[in-house]
Amino acid sequence: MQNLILSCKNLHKKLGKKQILKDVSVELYEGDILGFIGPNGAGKTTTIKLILGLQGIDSGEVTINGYNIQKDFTKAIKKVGAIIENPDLYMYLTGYQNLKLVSNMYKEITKERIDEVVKLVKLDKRINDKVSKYSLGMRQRLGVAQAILHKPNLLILDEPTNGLDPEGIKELRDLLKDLAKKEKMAIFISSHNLAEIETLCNKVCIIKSGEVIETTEISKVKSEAQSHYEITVDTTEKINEYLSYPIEIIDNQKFIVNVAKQQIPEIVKVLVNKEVKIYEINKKQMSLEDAFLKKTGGNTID
Amino acid sequence: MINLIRNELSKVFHKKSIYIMLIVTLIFIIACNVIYKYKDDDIKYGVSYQIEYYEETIKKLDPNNENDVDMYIQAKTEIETAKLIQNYGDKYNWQMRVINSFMRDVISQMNECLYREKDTAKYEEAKKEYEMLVAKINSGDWKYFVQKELEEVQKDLEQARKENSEEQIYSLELREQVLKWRLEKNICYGNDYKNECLESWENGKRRIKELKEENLSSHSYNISYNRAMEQIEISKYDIENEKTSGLDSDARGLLLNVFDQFELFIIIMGIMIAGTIVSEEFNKGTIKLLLIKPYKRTTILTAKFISSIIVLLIVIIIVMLMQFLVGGIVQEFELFKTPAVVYNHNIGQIQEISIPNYLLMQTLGKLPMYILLMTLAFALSTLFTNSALAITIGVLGYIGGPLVNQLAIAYNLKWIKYFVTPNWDLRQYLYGGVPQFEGINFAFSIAIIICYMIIMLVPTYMVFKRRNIKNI
Repeated sequence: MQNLILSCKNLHKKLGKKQILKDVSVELYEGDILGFIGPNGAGKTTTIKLILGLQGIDSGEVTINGYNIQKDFTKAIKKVGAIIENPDLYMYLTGYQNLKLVSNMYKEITKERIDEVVKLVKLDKRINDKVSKYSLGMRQRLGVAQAILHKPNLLILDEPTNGLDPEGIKELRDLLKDLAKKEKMAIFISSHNLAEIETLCNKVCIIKSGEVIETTEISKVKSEAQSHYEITVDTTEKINEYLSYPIEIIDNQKFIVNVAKQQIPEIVKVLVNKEVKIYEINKKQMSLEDAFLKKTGGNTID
Repeated sequence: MINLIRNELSKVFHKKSIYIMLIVTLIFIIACNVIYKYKDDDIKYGVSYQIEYYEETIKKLDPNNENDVDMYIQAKTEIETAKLIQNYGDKYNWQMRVINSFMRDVISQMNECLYREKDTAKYEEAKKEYEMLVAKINSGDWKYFVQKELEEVQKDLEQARKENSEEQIYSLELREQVLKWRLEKNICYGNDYKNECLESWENGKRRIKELKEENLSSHSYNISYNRAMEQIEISKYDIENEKTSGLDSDARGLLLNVFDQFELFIIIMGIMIAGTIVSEEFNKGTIKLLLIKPYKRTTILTAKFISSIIVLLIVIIIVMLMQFLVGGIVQEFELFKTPAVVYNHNIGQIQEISIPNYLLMQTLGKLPMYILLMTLAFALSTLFTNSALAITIGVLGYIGGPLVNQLAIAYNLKWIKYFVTPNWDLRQYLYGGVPQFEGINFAFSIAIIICYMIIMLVPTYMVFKRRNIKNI
């Protein structure tokens, strides 16, 4: 049994009259990388702020490493590193001075540890430049550096890919993968774009309008998304009678069938026997998002 | 906590704003020292207008006319006196004073002889006297005139003693003492600091006498009495010891009065730091970084508060050092060897206090006011996360404080003693001083200061502790 690191139970939050979060529950175990996916305004950042104790919780509870965030704040937050929204950096200081400020706030951070982390995020050449001269990607990496300086076992990243170009996103992804392996952290990443982080995560949690719609292992979704063929025929009227596979009819000429590759000849054979004219068979790679949409009943995420 | 304070200080001292303010202060300090050094004591007296006026008058007058002769003699005397003054530079110098108080009579005498009495022998006599006096002036023998004045005063004094006129005796004795000091301590007529001391001593002594006759409440009597005594004793000390401890325009005086001269800079820097130390983190979003570290929010806020006070202390020390160095370089370091001199009202005596000790006491006396204003800015900055508002209201508080006090005195508002401004300057209690407002004392002031601190800080802590960190 893996260690439970983060547990959110039935979180509710109201800001003014607006109910921001309704009954949000998430669990994160050691080694997990959870993608927390939802459109803008779904409550991702608010959830993160509740987890980090930046906002009060109306009802429900957050436990990190066994400590309640509200009752035992300093103990609960001790092994947490986070970047919320943009990395919080002092622009008028150098990268190194920023890290030094963080290291002063924890007892156990040595100078060697700072150097090690600087190397890890590949900032060693620019670490003595003022942060105001950094590119967004470098700031993001420095943000990661100061979040992991004290060897947290839970890393929380809020929209880390925001504003990064594809190259930057790839760099960040590689960095996080590297970190998860080297530093043995559980990582909680929020994003509005699943595609950007799907290769990174092993779990996904979809949130919409303040409610968690689905939490699942990414491999399960992937398996569902694997076999997916679109077949164009002369008429789809009686297709359901002919085939016993899971079928989704799009219009009277196209339908989608979710089967493995090996079963395609079987299907063709049946259709030919029934004198259905086959014009086209396309293999469609279904994205994780589409798979989710299907699962959650065709709602759009964005 | 100590680590947090270290971090805060490191953040403050990595910002440009505090250095810019320090440089502006430095420029101001240099300007003050230079201006005071080259201050021109030779103020123009200005007799040319007088000459013009009387020359115009004299044209219309006929010395042979019975009705005009008075006016003619007067005008003539004025013109000649003024011209004599012009000969010596037309300035507020000792020659001017001597001419005005001694020569005018002689010139008038000469003109009387010439135009009214038409007595050549008497005129020659007067002229001889005139020439002798001019020679005395030319040879720089001002003591001759002092001596002469002293003789006159002593003659009057004798007369007054015979008549037993107490008031006159008192006043003449003061004059006598001043003149004796002039001879003894070599103080020439003029308008330098020594003359100020003589004047100040004489005025103070008169004031003491007047006070006894005025019907004042005991509190205002005490204030006026103390002020006069201080004036008298410090002037006397400086005259007798030939020192300039009361002089406030040299480098040493600027250092001792650092809180009167450069206070605005100190207070603005203090308020600037206290008013931004919290709100800036909110505005830049960096507050989130702080709040997800393993510290309680109250600890973080306390660290910030203590840090702003430490910055204030550092700023005060820097400003004092700047005045010390700039004053020493522009004027001379020798000046700082003279200790500060205060009049201790408790023992009724002058006390010599070393400069560091004096400055320490001044700082301690001023600190409550600075800390209260900074607390105001700090509280506003935390409550409204708005630096501009916090700084503006902080500075307004500084400007408004004395205004409130003046209004309270003018309208004799008794309840004002429960307000903070009459209490926040503890220097009023130093060396046995009597506070300006009736019914307050040291312990009362401390209590009021603490009360106002609590009133400002409690809501600040409560709000900061519960604040939801919204999207920034």
